[in-house]
Amino acid sequence: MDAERAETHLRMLAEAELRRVAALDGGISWRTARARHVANALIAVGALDARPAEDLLTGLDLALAVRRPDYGTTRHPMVRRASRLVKHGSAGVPHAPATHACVAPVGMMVPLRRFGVHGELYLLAYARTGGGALFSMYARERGVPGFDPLMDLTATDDQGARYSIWFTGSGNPRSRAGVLRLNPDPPPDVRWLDLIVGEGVTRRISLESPPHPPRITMTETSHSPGEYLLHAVAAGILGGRPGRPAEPWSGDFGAIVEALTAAAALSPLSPLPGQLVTLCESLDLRNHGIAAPAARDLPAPWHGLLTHAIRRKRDGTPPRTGCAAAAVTLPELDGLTLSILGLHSDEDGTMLHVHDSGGPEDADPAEFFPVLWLRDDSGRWHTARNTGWSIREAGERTALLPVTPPLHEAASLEIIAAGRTAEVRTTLPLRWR
Amino acid sequence: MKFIPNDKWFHALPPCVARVPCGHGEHSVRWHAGTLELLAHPDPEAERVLAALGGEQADCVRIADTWDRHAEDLRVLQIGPRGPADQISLGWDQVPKPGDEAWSFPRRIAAPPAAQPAWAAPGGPGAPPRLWHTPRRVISPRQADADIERLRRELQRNITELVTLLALGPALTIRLSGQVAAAHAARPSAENRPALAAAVQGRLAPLAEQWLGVDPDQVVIMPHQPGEPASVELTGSGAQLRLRVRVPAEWLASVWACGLGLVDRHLVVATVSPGWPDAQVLALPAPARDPVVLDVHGTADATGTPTWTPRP
Repeated sequence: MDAERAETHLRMLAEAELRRVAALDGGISWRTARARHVANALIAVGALDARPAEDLLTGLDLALAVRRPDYGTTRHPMVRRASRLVKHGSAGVPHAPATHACVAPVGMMVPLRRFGVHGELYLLAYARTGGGALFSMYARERGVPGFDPLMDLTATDDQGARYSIWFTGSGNPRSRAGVLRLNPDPPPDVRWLDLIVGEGVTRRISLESPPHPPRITMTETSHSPGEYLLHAVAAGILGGRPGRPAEPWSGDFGAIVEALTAAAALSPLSPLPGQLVTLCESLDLRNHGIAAPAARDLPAPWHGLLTHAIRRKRDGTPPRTGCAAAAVTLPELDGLTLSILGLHSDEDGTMLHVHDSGGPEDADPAEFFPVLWLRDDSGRWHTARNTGWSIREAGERTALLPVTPPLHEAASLEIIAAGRTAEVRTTLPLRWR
Repeated sequence: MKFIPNDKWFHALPPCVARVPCGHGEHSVRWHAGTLELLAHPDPEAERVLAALGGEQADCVRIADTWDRHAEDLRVLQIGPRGPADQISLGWDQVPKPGDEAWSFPRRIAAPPAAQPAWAAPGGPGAPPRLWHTPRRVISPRQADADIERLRRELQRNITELVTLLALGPALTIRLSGQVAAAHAARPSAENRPALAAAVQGRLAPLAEQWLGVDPDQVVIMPHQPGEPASVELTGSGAQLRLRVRVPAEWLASVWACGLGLVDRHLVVATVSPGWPDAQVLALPAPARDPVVLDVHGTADATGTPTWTPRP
């Protein structure tokens, strides 16, 4: 990659934006979103450090502001760009050390009958991480609003030690998902916990790892940084959130492809721009601005998800309601260690429960997250978007990732985590309840 | 064609004067031969000494100091005028007073950063002040608050200073742009080449539009190596049409800042013999044509903006 060419390209684009916006009646800063999107893309692939990009874009904003006739008389609603830009991709941003989480699938339903509330608590997986021990969970509740059946849960272990448990997560009056954290941390050799959910309900949970853990393969990626970014953009489109991690408007895709090519982050011979054209035009995103001709062949996950997206209107099958226990910790990928901690499906869709560590301490984790492609045992492709609830503590993060399309019936799930430098694959058996 | 560097980029520029508020009145500052002169303050150095001892700093002196601080600041090229037609007409009433919050700067740069910056305070010799900053590492909330306040003050000061320089008017700001360009063109590096190339593009593209009617977005600035001849060629057609221009960054100072960019439907690529009001330039009648030597004569309007015509 060529940082000088990347910066030159971005500055030339900023000049064009200034001409374009200043020519309008009272240039408006938010119209310079294209320059910001291109800057984000160049930072994401490592072609440009965040700091010169920030300087450049802020200079563009100021250049526009002083060309407004009312400069100094009003405060203009200038675009507030989150500090995310300066946080991702640049050298020197501190990363929390990646810690390896020890995980075990649980797959247990515990009835909830407390404070007049009836429901079910599904424990999906147990994880012992650098930040403590937790259960990934999903709960359905019916009954008296205002009372929390997950409050004041306790547990004891096989050595008689006692733990308090509290819930962190998201939800609605009908259901909640997230994690149950244990305090203090159980020792690493604990074999089981008795979970006490009140009114005489106790369940024994085995914390021992399964005898045959899932097989994991890791291969070096053959994608250039620019191709990786375009895969992420495609996953964002197909997953319903255009453009993660760069979040560009589809009209800026062409400018992004040009910038990546100029910065030598994307080969002019790469098939990805043409494939993105096919994807955009198949989904009626016709203002993509990519000059490459449409490509016939699409990567398998794109093709599978595109087929689903085209048929989506006719596919009215509600997602399967239930929870699937699963647990695996993937090898470190681009500095991030990701653990899969089960799935749940309900009327709101399917969520993949994950835990990760090793991301930048103050960065938007979306910028460092691998692209997740999932394939169920019937061969249908899915993607998990890094857009759901999450909580970050002590350099670790627990999150719920919406899965598109939702999973219906699947006995197993192949997970492909595609990072900038490598790709990790594993297949998890799913035990639905 | 061979580019001929000139030691003094500003020889083809006439003096110009601006009125600035100073104390309870207005004073004149004059740019002449690359220097900003304070006509109402014959001994600014003595005034600086008095100010350092607790006296009040005259606004004229403060403006001159601001000029010097930004004389190598590439942001002047990014924010300043692209030419006489690029109207930035800021009045002094639009310049924040010292201590005021700067007007209308992007909210994101005013937002409290979460961490300590890694850049030095502005004003050091050879190190243009950084207007913006990047959080680099997580620090304690108390330290972060202190840094936020310091950064806000520096940020305000830098924006105020840049706006102050723009309020001097386009004639002076274009001269300051020439000074910045000349300083950096003399020592090209990976750090300043992108900004210089963009500055050339932003200023040459409107001239090319006047010259040939090409869309400014179709003007492509090609990298220029020291000693390499300047070149201009038109390629492609329709949407693929490109005007590929290869000129040294010094063009910004010795040609563009002197108002020589386009003379008698010729694109000037270099000065052969700079001077005021008569100069000799190397100019192209059309892309891919051999350059011709033009003898030109300049006249200046009331603001000091020059206009050049061929000398009979």
